[in-house]
Amino acid sequence: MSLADTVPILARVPDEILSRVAAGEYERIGMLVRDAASKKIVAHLQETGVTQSIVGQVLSAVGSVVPDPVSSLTGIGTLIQNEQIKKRLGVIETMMGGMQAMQTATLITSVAGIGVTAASTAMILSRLSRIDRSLEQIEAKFEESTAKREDWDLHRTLRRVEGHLQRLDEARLVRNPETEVRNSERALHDAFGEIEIGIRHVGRRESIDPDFLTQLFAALSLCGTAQIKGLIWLDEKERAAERARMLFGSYRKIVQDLPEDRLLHRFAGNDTAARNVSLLLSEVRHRMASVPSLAETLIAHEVHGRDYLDRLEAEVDEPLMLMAYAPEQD
Amino acid sequence: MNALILESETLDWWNAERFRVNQECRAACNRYVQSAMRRIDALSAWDLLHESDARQHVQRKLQSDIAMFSRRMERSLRDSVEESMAEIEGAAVFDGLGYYEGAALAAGGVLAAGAVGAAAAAGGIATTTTATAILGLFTTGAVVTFSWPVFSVAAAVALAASYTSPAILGWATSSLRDRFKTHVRDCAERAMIADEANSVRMRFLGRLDLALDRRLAALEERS
Repeated sequence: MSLADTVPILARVPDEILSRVAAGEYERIGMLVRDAASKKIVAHLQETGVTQSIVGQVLSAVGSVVPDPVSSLTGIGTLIQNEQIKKRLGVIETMMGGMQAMQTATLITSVAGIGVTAASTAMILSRLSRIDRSLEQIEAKFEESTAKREDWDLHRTLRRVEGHLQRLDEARLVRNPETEVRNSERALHDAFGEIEIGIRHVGRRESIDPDFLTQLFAALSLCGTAQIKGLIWLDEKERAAERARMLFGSYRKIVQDLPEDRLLHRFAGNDTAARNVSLLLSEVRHRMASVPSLAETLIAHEVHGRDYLDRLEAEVDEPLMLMAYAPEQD
Repeated sequence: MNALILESETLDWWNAERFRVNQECRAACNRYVQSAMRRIDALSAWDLLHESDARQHVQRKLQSDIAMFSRRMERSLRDSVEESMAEIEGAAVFDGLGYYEGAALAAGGVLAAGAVGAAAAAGGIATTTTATAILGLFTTGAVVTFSWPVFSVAAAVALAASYTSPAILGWATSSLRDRFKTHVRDCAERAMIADEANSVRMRFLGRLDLALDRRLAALEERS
């Protein structure tokens, strides 16, 4: 009997999967769970509305940047009031296995999944203004005007992104939501291209502030994920898969421009920052690489994209939900 | 198997290997320079001022250290390609020839064909399954060149000065020792870690970039 026969389309992560991941029989990569030996996909993971609630509670408790003492999941646990959610933090810890707690916390507060809402997005994007001020001080004088112009362009793009994310989030309240979502999805696609160009410009600077780059990656990721969310909401799953392939290509170019050894140089030898940014970029890329398989699975299960998203957003107890993988694999 | 995930993991492998190569080259360079500095400190005034074996030995030892490092790094990259391909793509996917057997066969063919022809042939042999094919043939017998004439002139001047006034012998050898150290450090850094295309670090990074292109192309072809 396959997992698909025993697990409903979208359910809490079963204990059996948790123990197998903990034992190393299964592994998580991006938002896929797969057999560690055969590499066959077993299931899809997805963050829910609860993940956003964690983001919201952490950010409102500690401000815009998560400091080191609370960057671990244990630290985050102390900030969360809801006992039920607190109990399920262990699920995130197990399923995000292989990542240090610090990275898991960074991930939760920087790069949320397709369940992300405008509220948490706005909090993430608002960190950029503070970082921009510190950036001005480190720019070489002769580069200053160019750098400022590039940063200003990026800021305008990010403000636009924020607006479209809000419109996407509020689409269900308007009279003609499909048109609204379609427009926002298109605008986010354009903005993604602009942020990508911005990152590649910034990446060529001799010296880069790691926080600034991290926030740009987070913004790029949000922009990419929101497009996918829009297409899934429109139930255009094949397009979502195709778009994911295209966006993955952009992430590939970025890592080829900025591998960890180059980041280390640009970050003036700060190896922890280089490692963290590199891990973040890898995670974002793996997540995008999981989307075509998610689309295939939704098609195979004949699940409407909007139902899938509504189910994720309506969840109140589980931070991660799981969907059995359906299509045949080689 | 999800092609994008394979591609993404391959990028992780490449990223990690580039970082490792970068760090190991820098660490090795530092070790070899320190070791050379100790040898130079142990040179007598006579050794410094003349074309002595001991002085030549500093250069030979550095050349040998770098050549050994290159060979070790080459082997380790080859292993890394094989292991990562088995790990990322799943050993079960490949029937028949294992990675190691495939690599050995390809390498054997390469040796039989001769180095230059083999490098070209390697590209055509089992492009997706062997480390040799992925990495290409290394010819990283690193060449460390010392620009001796500059140093020799300094040594000759110091030697002449020491004949005319024994009192300045101490100053001359100390100054010469410092110049020799700077010269050896510059040579080692240029050979090992400089941003120039010929340094050991840049050659290995270039190999890794090529390996990435080949693996991504092979994955694309297969999907």
